[in-house]
Amino acid sequence: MSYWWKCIGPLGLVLGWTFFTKFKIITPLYLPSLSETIIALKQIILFHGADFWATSYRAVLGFFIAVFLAVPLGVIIGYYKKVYWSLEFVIDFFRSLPAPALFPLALLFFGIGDASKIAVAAFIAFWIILVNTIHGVWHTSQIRISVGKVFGANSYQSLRYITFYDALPEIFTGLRTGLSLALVLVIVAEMSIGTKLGLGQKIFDSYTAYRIPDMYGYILVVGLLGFLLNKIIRHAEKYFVHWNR
Amino acid sequence: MIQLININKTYSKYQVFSNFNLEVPTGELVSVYGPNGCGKTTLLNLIAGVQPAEQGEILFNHQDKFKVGYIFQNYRESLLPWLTVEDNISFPLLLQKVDIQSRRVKAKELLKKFAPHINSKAYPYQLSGGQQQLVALLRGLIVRPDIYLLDEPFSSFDYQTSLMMLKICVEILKQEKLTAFFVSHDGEEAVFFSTTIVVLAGNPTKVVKVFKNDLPFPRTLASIDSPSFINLKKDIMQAINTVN
Repeated sequence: MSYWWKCIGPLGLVLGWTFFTKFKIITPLYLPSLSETIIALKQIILFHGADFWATSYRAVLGFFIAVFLAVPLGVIIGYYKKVYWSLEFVIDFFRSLPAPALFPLALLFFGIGDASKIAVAAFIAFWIILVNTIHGVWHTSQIRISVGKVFGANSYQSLRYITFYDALPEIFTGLRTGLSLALVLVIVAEMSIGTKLGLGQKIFDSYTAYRIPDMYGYILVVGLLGFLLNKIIRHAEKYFVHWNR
Repeated sequence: MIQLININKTYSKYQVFSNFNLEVPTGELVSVYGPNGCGKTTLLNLIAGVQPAEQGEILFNHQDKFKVGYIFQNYRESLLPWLTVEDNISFPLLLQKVDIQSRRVKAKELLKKFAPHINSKAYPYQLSGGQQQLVALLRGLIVRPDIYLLDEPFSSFDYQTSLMMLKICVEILKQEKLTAFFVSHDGEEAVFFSTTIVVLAGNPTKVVKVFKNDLPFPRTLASIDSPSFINLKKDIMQAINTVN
């Protein structure tokens, strides 16, 4: 039953697209027909997979760098109130800073290769994961902390075996947002810094060369990539945070 | 013998205990009965060593080192939902750095002995409230405690279930020959559980009176209606009122 309902959205999208192109409501110059786009998409998938992998690699690596730095740091900062107070301004400042403003800086430090794109992706994901981890630690159940105390947990054990898990649902909220933003930043960085391989670059190239069906094809691929990453992290969340449904 | 000697304790600026003294023989099931906010939970935390007293000594058979089991009021939050039943029960052993194999063996032994109907691989959220609290009770047993502390563990259950759980709890504690302190503000539960009832009241908290409870075990729903049960319940409830 719900299966059929779920088909309505995608079906509407396809019908709408066909409707607009068939009756030339939007000029074919701006919106090519669905079949043209699908042919372009097929070409991209068959012969230009490298762009997909280049972009995925940058976003995912940037994300993982952020995770490995932000989660342990967030647990510690959240646990020690004094550390948080002393860093509050720094954290609030950097998480509010629009990351594309740092592109030139990334270029200076990391050059025009992969490293600068990975760095900005890691940067944006880092702050959002950090903040969510800190909040997760703050919301740890005081009763479970007492349980630890009663049975003789030292502060390391309390952090490692109780607080970390109690914070995990909120950490995953950070991971989801962090991964989405990492992909956004990689696409933007590819467009503005430039690269040989990468979906952002290819979208821009197709636009400047007026290969509009290609442009739509690449947009669909980016959308698919974002969708896929989101699905993966949701599955990971269900697996690791099974108690919090 | 458990002795609390000259305890002083302030809790958020209130003097909860001032030169507080209490002595209880080992093996007693002690109900600590008193109005809300009279420091019953604080008393348990003092014995557990979670909140240190500003002054005074707590001794078990003249030693100040002893082990406690503890069961909390809020069963939903006191178990660790990311761990299975067996890992929850053996969690205190994890903190003592016991290896995982021996931890699980010990947890399974306890389960087999006292709760064979609970699946050791289940997660807390898959259990009923009563089962969850039973798991929490076994978690306190795994450390082989000298004293078992119970902080209104069944107060959020319905009447019938709470008495049934209390009955199971008493049977387990008696079988393990433990000394236990059971905190309650419910006179019926306090009588149902205990061999000794300590009535607390006042500000700072004092022992108003200590009652011996000789009602025979096993106690059932029928015992509640017996005249001696009802009289004892009346006595302890009246004891509080003599203070104010």
